[in-house]
Amino acid sequence: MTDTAADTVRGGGLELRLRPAAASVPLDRVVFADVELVATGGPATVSARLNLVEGDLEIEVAGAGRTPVRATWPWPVDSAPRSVDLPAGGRLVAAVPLISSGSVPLFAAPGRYELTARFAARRGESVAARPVALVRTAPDDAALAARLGDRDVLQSLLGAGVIGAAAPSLELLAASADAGTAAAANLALGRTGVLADAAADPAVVRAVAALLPPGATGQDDRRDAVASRVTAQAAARDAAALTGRPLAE
Amino acid sequence: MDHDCGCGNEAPAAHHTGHGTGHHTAPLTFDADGQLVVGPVIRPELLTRPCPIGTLDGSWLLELERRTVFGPEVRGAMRIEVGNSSLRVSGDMYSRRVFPPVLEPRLPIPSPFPIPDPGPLAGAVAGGVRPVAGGPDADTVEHGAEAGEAGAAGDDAAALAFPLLGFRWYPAFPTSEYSWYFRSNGATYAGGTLTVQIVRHLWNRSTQEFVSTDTGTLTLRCRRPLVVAAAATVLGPSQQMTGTLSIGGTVTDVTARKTSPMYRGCRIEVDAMVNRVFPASATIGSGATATVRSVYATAGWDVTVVTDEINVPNDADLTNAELATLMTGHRQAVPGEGWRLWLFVGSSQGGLFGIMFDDDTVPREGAAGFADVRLGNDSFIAAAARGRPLDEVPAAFLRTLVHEAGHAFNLWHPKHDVHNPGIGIEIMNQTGDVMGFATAANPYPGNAGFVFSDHDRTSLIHSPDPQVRPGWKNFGWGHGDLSAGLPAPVDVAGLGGDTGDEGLELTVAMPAQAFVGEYVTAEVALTNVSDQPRTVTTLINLSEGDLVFLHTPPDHSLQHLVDVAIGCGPRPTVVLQPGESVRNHVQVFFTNQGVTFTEPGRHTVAAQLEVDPLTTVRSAPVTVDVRGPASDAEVDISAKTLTPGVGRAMALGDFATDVSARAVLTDLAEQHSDTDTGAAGALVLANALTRTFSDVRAQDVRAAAPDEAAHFLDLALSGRSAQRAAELAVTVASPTEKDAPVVAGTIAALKPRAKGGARSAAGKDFAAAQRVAADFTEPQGR
Ligand SMILES: [Zn+2]
Ligand SMILES: [Zn+2]
Repeated sequence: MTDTAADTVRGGGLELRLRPAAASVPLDRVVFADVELVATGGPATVSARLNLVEGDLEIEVAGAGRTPVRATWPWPVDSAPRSVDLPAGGRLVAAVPLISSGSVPLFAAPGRYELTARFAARRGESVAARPVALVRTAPDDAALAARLGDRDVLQSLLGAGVIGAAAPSLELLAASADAGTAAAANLALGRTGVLADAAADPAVVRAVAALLPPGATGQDDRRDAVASRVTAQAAARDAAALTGRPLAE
Repeated sequence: MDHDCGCGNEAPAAHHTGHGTGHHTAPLTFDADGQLVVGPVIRPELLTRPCPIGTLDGSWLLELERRTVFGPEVRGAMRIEVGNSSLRVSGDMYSRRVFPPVLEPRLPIPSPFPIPDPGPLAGAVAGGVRPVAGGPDADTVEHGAEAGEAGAAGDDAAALAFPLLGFRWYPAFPTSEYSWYFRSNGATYAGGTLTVQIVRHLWNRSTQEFVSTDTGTLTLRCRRPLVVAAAATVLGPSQQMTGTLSIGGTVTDVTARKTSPMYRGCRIEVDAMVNRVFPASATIGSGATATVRSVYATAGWDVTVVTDEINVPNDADLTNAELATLMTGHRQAVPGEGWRLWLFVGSSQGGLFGIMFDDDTVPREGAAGFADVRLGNDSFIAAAARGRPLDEVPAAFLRTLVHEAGHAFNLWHPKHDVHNPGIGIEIMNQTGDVMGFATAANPYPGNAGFVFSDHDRTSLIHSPDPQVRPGWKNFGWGHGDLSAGLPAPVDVAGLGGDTGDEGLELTVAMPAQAFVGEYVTAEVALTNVSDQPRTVTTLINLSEGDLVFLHTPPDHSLQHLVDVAIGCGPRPTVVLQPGESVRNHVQVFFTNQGVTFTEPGRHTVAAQLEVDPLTTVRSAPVTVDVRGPASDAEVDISAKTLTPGVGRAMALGDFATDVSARAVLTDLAEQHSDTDTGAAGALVLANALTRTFSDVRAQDVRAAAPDEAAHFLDLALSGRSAQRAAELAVTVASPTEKDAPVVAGTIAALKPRAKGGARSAAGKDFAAAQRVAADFTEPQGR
């Protein structure tokens, strides 16, 4: 069982990093996080499925006094393995939404949470990130937080399309002062122009990359529109998260 | 130990006894419906014996007797899983109050499992389907297609040829009536009594969660009637058990009625986007043919695939919202509580092979596979599959569709399952993980297993309805983050009566090939391989309850017990010296399940013999490859033997008052006596026409027709070795009728062939024929 490229031993040397976009986020906003897999040793061939959709990446969320839960996509999927070659020091970068465990809101209440990411980087080899803290604070708008916890709404955000009766709630979220939250709602509502106009904001790019992860989701005009506004020099990381192409450094 | 045949006969002493009592020597008598009538000495209701343990296997409707007319009506589904050395029980009970109270509480006749509309892809509906309901359903189309020219003889005739097996169905009730789940915590089965220690999990209808448990005992008695009650059920009376449930401080009478030899059923409607191909069947790595139905059958699920629309308008990329909309727009409305699932053959969603897209408030009702996504070019992918769209690689696409449907039944990827069952090549592994086990020498999809892991199989069979039934608890309840579910049922401890015996060996010899409709016989032999004499039954036939066949059809749906249980009497025994055998020839063409080999494909048959009240031995299975009739003659033979009434006549050695069966048998004998099937038909006629026949209900007597009988005997014997002629004669004779005219008549007619002396070839052939006849009339060890 060792003739797949992914099994070729290259001396380990992989590091997984998880970093929430903000250390503290009110419950009426969507939390996004950046994830990176770095080839700290030599070059490495690794799974390209660095997203929550396909099941290689798992993020466990532990709140004080609560049973840890996993951030998972609401819908189980099946896909072929995909791999990518990282040069020495190269990075695979991605963004993830921390919205739900299945179809249940991931963060039940304000509090301090510890997040641990684990990635099946190669066959038989799983890499864990150092745990990071995230504080969820009370919502500025409790009604909006409640809408964010609605099944149809969170599925619409994660499915990047309106599901069920979510449209009115998505309109309210699209008006959020938080750029990432608004972008997530606009994505579900199909407002390509609004997203493209806001593409200079890294929070918008992160939201689009997290909710339309490259590889797991197909060609998408909304993602293309945002990517076309991101200049490679100014935001190489943003572009890489949108395309799934690794960064050399 | 209870060897209770119910006839008031003690097992006789350890020597061969004759058959001088009861109906054994009486001529067979049938009423106007072709129903066997036994003599007045025997009380039919007493003609029972403990069921073989395999009888318990399957789905049952369990009903609790109402304590008062004001009490709730409690009924539900019970699943008994009988393995080689295991027995597990689980059930889901539903209750409702019936207002106004009725004095004679009756369950509403549960709607049978819906008969699928064949739809535009009917010919491609899951292969090897046994009829869900013995009617002209999708299976008919399948059979007609695979049987080739058999269809030319008339599809309807072929359809009618399937005996009415009765419905297979799976008790299902409104979710709002769900009351409790139970699972076994150990069980015993002895002397026909099943005793199950149960753990009951009570359901809170408001919170939609299990809230508390208690324990109790369920006791059920299974008796197997030996006399057929009604002609409509031919030789297969419905199974029923009665007993008590002791729980919560009360004891309640219960009745269990068997609804299917499988455990659960689901109707899967398949809709396909235009130009996308549903893999109705696929050749898998083992070389076998798999279908959605056959894969689920390995887990005891009776899945009916109905291909409905195949022209859903094109859309190159599908979001989950679009999939939900498509399901709403294209799913058929099906009344009733039967389980159902919508499976969509779509275009693509990024790089995904498939998705279970439905996790709304009525979740898990739909799943999709994506036809356009292409397999990679890796060395571990079969060369012919590399770079191909998924729907051009039927095995891979079938795997994905079965996998996604599994999610709809709340199964998880093993690597994400809270029970950590471990990854492998079974269905619920992600394709990427299965590919991880593939090599260039054993590439994907050939390396994939088209079975469920034990963990998932147990969940499919036994997990509570709210977990498994589409449309109920959300995805993740049972194996995921919502709940780890309830524990699995606990196995039986100490099964009685099915332990085998190393000192005895049971063997079955059958032809390796047959065509649908061909008359098939088997030789069954019991050999004493120990160094001690053994006393064993001599009832090596399918009619008196000691011998049954376990038949597994090509789709691997569960084994059926087959026999021709009509007689009951003392169990004559014989002492087998070390190395000695008793043997007999039996027909396996037609049994209580109807015609045995109706489906082309590989069947397996094993024999099981109750040697004495304490010992049951089982043979190694033999395989029979069954094909459709090929030549014109075979097509004609098949059409004749599959005609209603003919199979039963061949099983009982008499057409009774069935004039149409007689006419068909006559044609069969006249036109095809060069074949064993035609000769068997001739022998049935010879047997029946030798004697008078009393129709007790019509008070009519069919006169004997000795000249005709002699003619048909001639037809059967000419061109056939004495031994084979005798073998056919004993198989058409009813085993309860030791003095069947056809056996004596055959030997008498063959005798002149031996005039060249015992050492001549003809003489040896005749001696062999005499032994075959003696094995039938007076079995002895030798
Ligand atoms: Zn899956
Ligand atoms: Zn599990």
